[in-house]
Amino acid sequence: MLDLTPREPITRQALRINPLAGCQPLGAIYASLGIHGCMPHSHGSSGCSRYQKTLLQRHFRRSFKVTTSVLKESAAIFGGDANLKTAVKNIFDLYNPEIIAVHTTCLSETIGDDIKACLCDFPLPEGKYLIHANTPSYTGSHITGFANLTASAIQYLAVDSGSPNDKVCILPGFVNPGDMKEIKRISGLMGVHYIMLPDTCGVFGQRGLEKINEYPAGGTRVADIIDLGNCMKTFALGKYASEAAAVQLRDQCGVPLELMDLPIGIEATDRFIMALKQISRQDVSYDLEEEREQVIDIILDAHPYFYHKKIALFGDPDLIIALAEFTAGIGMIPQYAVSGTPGAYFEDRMREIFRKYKIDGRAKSPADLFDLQQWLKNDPVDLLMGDTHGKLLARAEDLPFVRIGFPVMDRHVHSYLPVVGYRGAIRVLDMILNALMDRLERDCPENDLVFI
Amino acid sequence: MSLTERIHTQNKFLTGERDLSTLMMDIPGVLCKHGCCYMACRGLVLSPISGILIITHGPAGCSYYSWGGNRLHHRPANARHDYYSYSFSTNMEESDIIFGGEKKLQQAIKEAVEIFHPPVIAICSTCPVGLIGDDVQAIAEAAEKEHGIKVLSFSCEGFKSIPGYRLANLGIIENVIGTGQKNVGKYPVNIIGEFYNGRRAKEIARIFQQIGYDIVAVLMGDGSYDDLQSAQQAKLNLFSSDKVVADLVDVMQDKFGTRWLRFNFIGMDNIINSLKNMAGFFGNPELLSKTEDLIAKELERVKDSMDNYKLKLKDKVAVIFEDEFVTRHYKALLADLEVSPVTVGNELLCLPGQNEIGFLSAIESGGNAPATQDDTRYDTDLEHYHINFPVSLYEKIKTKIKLAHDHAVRSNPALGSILISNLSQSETEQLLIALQPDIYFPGIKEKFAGVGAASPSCFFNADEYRFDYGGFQGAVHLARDLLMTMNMAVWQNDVAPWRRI
Repeated sequence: MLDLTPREPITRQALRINPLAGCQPLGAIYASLGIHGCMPHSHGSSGCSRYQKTLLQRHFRRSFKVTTSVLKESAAIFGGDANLKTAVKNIFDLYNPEIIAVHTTCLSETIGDDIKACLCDFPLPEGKYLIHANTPSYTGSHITGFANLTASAIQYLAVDSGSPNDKVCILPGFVNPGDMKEIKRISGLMGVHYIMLPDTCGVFGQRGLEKINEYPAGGTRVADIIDLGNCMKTFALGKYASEAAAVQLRDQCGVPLELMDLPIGIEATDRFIMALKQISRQDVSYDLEEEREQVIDIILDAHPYFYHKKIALFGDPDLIIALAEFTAGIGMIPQYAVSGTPGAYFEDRMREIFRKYKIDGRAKSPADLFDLQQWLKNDPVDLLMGDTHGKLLARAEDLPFVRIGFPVMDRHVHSYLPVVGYRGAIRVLDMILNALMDRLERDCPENDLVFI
Repeated sequence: MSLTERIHTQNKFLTGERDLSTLMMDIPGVLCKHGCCYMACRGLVLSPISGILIITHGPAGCSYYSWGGNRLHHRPANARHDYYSYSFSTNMEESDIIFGGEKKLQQAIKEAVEIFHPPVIAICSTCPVGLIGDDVQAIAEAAEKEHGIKVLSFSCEGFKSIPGYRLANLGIIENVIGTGQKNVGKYPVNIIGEFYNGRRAKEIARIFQQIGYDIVAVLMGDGSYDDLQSAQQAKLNLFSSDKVVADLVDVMQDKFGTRWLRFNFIGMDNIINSLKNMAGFFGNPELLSKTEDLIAKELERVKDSMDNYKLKLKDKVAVIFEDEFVTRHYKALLADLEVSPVTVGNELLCLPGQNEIGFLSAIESGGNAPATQDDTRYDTDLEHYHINFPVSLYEKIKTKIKLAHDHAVRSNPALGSILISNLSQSETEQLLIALQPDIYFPGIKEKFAGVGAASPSCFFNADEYRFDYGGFQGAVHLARDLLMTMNMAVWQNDVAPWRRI
């Protein structure tokens, strides 16, 4: 298993080995699912939506609907307009969604289909909506696709009607439903009224749907997306996944934005709560204070296990940045941080964190797991954190492994539980401690194995 | 033209090509489970062959999704050339789409050779490559000369209509098979289309070894490149694909004279027939007696547990939605357990001069796919369902159900079953509720969520939970899983106390 990776550093120009990120349509589908009554539509060949659907289903372990334009050779020659029109008509006829979110693929982008021109004269049924996002697979990653679709939902729908709604717009970034729920809970506890986009709580595995044309109860309502234009402020959590939409809302409706890290760990959550406090001018609730105290206590109790333990982090950039700050702040050394999503901000931000905590670390984006494995072969770490694809690496390099981020296809439960907020911090600490201590007890001499 | 008519026309067109897999809907905007040419070419055929380093030429997404997606459990013959835990791509970016990706592909091949020294490289093209017109074939030929290794190229762009497994298999027959020689046993066979399941391959190998067959090569299963090179030395191709790729074995027969037999390793009768047919093909009395001994021995081995499970599953009602080819597997296994399933479907097959019969049931009763003739008609009607179940069940429920119209109720005394056709969704649901099923198989849940939501269901791919339903033990494993699912205590708590009536 991954035995063929050489130790000697190799510079590659063309070959990507063991990629760290999917393509834009994957993120676009996930963002679409966070809109209530929305049918994600993949304007590409049938395989695209199948691959992405499979991956999302394996992560959430629940089924959902995605349609496709089924582009074939004729579309490659004559363009995919006819397929798209047929598809949109069929979707409204058969599945009756409130809104269709069309996203493109590398196929339709290379053909050069102009979605807007194709659908401009399409007679939308009464009260129905249609949005589209350009998500070519050959640029960016699934995070970019997520950001693009969220931004285009705002572009198509958000309107500044001139009557402020005293709400904030929260863009939660590419996180699990469990995280979105926690962000909403914290905002509620802080007395902030909000609209979250996208919101995948209650979207996966909704029971009791009677018919093929019914949709889960969860997701951001279209009316709320329209109302985003009247918000007083946008909290964009995670630059990569949320900045595009926040900027769109600012330019379109004049809603000021505040760009923040994902609220993972003490400091990032503190910043998020202080920002919410500024809006509601309310005292921080007792619940949150108690949770924060618990996090601090756990760190104090367990600090000998964390202290100077080296970690390799890989995954989506927003998550890795937040995790690096969190782990560095509790005395660990985030030695390596790699992300598959292109963009200079990741390395800049990681350098900042390295500088702040005096860490001689390495960060690279876009990178792949082959890079990381080579680094690990030359200078190993104590813990590996990232998505399911790291399990081969953990086995090959014999490292304890914490599954976090997207996709986690080989474990259950995770998507229901948060990693954000203080409660999320407790969970992350729990996972890290268990992985480290299990390894310690696996390897220690028998007579060192004690109950206390 | 209405949607139903369109599907109808499309199906008629497609059946003209004798490819039954495309019978499943392929219409823009209609939910479908289709993959693409690349997916099948890489995932079904090439990935399982150990010893080939596959480079996906295109954006990184496709190589990301196809990385380690299936459960092969394979043990490579040569760990030095086992690339299964890796995924390679040229990671095409916008500039490559504009200026062409040929240079990047050349460079990627060079880097792969320098790092991994593979004996064979296969290049799989994805959608944009076909559009921008990279000459992948020429690059492969040049790379072969430059690096002194074999470089195969597959133009399996996702938008192509040709099924990917067919494209890949034809490529392998053309370029790989026949390039090597090895020592083979007295009864050499190939296995073609034994899909992505290493556990089943192991079970097949165990049985074949006992009888005395030598497996030369495996295609679309747990195979290796070295073995495939000498696949022409097999005397018989065992063809066990769910998809209709019969023309591939025909191609092999034309090229190498290898004869072929259908082979099914799921369901007791299927296995026994397959083994007997094989022995019959070689015509050796010793082989025949060995086969019979083995069958007797294996049946004896599972008899106790089978009897036990049959008793436990007696009078259980299982519901299957007829939309996938795996349906046939379930039915064969359920038949072993003496459970007659209720089948629900959208399609009716009208053979000339015969009554309408459920489409997949028709295939099953005939053993093979029906030959397509001009007057053969497939009726696909998304809004109406046809339901087929044992007469005994019908007697129990017929007083309980009220159907809106007079529906055609046909009985088939030979099979002891009843077919009710042209039911609406709500009528079908009513029927299903009246039947009080104990278990649902996949497909049914998506279509009848209202009925199936709070009832046990079973996944065919039990491999995740360690067992395979192929082989003589298959039905035992299925029975074990069915009972496990049905008896799970959570069904008693499925409905919250405040919602119970």
